[in-house]
Amino acid sequence: MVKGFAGAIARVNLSTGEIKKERINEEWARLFIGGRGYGSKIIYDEVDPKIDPLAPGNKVVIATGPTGGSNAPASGRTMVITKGAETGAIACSNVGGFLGPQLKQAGYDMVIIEGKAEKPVYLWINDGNVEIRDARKLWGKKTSEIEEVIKQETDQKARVMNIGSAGVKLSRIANVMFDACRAAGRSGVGTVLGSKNFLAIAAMGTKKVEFFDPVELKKVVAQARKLLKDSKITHENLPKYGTAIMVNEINERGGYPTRNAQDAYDADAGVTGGEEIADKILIKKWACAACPIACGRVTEIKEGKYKGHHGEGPEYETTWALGLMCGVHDLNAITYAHYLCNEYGLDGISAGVTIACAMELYEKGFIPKGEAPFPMRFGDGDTLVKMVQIMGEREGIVGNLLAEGSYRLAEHYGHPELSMSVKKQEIPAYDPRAFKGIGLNYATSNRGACHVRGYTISQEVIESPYLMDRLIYVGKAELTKYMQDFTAGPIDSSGICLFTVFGLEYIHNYGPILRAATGIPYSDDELMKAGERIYNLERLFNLKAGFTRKDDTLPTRFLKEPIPAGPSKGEVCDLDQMLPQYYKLRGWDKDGVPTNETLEELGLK
Amino acid sequence: MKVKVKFFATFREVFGGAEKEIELESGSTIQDLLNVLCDSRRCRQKIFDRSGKLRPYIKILKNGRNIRFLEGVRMELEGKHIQFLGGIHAELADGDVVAIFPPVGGG
Repeated sequence: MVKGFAGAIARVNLSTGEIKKERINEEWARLFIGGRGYGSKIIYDEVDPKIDPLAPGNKVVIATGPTGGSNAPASGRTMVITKGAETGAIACSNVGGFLGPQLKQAGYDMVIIEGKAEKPVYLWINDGNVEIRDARKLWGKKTSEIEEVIKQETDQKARVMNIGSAGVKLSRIANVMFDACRAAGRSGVGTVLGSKNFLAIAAMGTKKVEFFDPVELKKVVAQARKLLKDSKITHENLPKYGTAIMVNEINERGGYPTRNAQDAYDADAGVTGGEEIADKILIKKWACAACPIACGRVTEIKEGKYKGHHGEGPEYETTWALGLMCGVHDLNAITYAHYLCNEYGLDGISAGVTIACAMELYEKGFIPKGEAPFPMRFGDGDTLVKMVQIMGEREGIVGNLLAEGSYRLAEHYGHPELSMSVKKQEIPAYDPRAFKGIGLNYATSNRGACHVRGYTISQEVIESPYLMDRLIYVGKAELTKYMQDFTAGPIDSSGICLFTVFGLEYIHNYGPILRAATGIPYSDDELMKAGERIYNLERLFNLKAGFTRKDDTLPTRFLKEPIPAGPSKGEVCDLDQMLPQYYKLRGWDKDGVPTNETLEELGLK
Repeated sequence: MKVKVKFFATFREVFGGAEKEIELESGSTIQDLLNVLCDSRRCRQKIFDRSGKLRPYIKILKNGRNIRFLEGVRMELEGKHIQFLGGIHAELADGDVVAIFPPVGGG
């Protein structure tokens, strides 16, 4: 038996109530590592790619990685893998918190949720026992209340993930909240669970996860932790200011999308950034399992209309999506809107970008005055808060459409081009016109527009581990493929957080941890190859689902409308200068389909 | 001539504020600007190493462009691979905005 794994998967059929315990497949552990890779393999093998994501035949895998439960830095990640409700593409949402290690200590690496329960249920996993429990009285409640009551019903030490009320209302942008403050946010993974009448998982365990070579593991983990301590990013500025320290970095380059990406620079964007958060609302920082970085923010609004509310965040992404993307500079309103998203179980990125889309539709007169419940103009914090509320409650015609995400909203009003999305998933906080590599990554990301599936910003801005010019196209196909494979394999499938790259930088700092944890003798090259294999497997699922080359694109705004002002004035993102080279490097034909040779080389034939 | 300088993250504490306007002689470079800004030993130590070189992890933007790429990019695209010609010797003009960042990441 390979080490690093608890060794078992709990397969829960909600239609029949049957719970099966299955063994971890050792060959898959070598080829797909764990976490995202292993979970995607299950979805690829078992789910019809053409199925309606909300049909009972869709499945959800909640997966940990083989480093989870160890002291490897930031290794407690959990992945939620399914066919996404928002995108219809394969979805993997990656989250921190503490559930992952608890699940492993309870004896399970993964949980597969299939079928559909007759009545709302949740799962209680306690030291090897798996029990389906009645969740009727919690159905439709907010995430923090669900977390609290489930802990009362199970154990105060249990760790909980739940979908809040957004997933229950089948909002297409519903997330899964872990520890009521960390989000498996994207692609509508919470929606799929909601469609199954499935509310939550609570887990607790006391078994120790066995690792292959504890002495070697301790040594290589100490080396990795030293690198993170030596990095000014992971040891100084990220803990001190949180992820929103990136607001000024990106805005000063003129790549910070504002007012639904009609602009990409705002002279006052800094009032929503990490420095202001640290100064105005920060109570303390927050760290996930085994994490030495602690980028999480515990905050409280100290003045104004929303005074006294407290919670977690905002992060870089949400301070942007709920902030300047909607033209809002009011940090207190942004923070309150972020708390609301966490309470409903709405993805903060998609929520903000969808509201921004509605604001542009409204200002351009595409939403009939009689349908808009109030004026929905850019810039007002209270309007933003009200829009999150009608989205969360699916209130009225517009509120109901907001809950469907920006693409369906904009399509309804006849202007899908105003949805800043790829494969129907909203873009994150980097304007692809100002960072060409991230544009290629948005276009080719298997789960739709995404920054963390190929974070080229590391090279285009952060200079970690090296610097590339953000405005040129040369080398961006190579960079994007490299970051996508690196992330899919050694990072997302091991259970280690992406933010460790700012200190660990290269595969040679991850390989030793994985080998010592599992005992599998994969080389660093084989781990990178596993990433490529996973990326291609996800691509195959999407091709079978009906996606084609034409879906590897960006909103027309980024392709055709030059940035009007600021440091990146005049820039567009010309995908044609990168995409053909990217396909070639990937071993895909001109239509973006992996060739037979590529599939054979990756063992996917 | 006047240039606007912006400081971020920990550099706000180092330089005592978020923004300064600095008067320079025409023809001044980023190096000249840094010499004016670093008016204390603490400042100098944060920005320069012992041999007086700009610390490699410090990011400086001139009007949104990393100074390491100023002047260099065109050369690289023409196949000459001379990427770092600008750097600290990049000349400033009246009204330029210079942003100075310590190493930050996340997002």
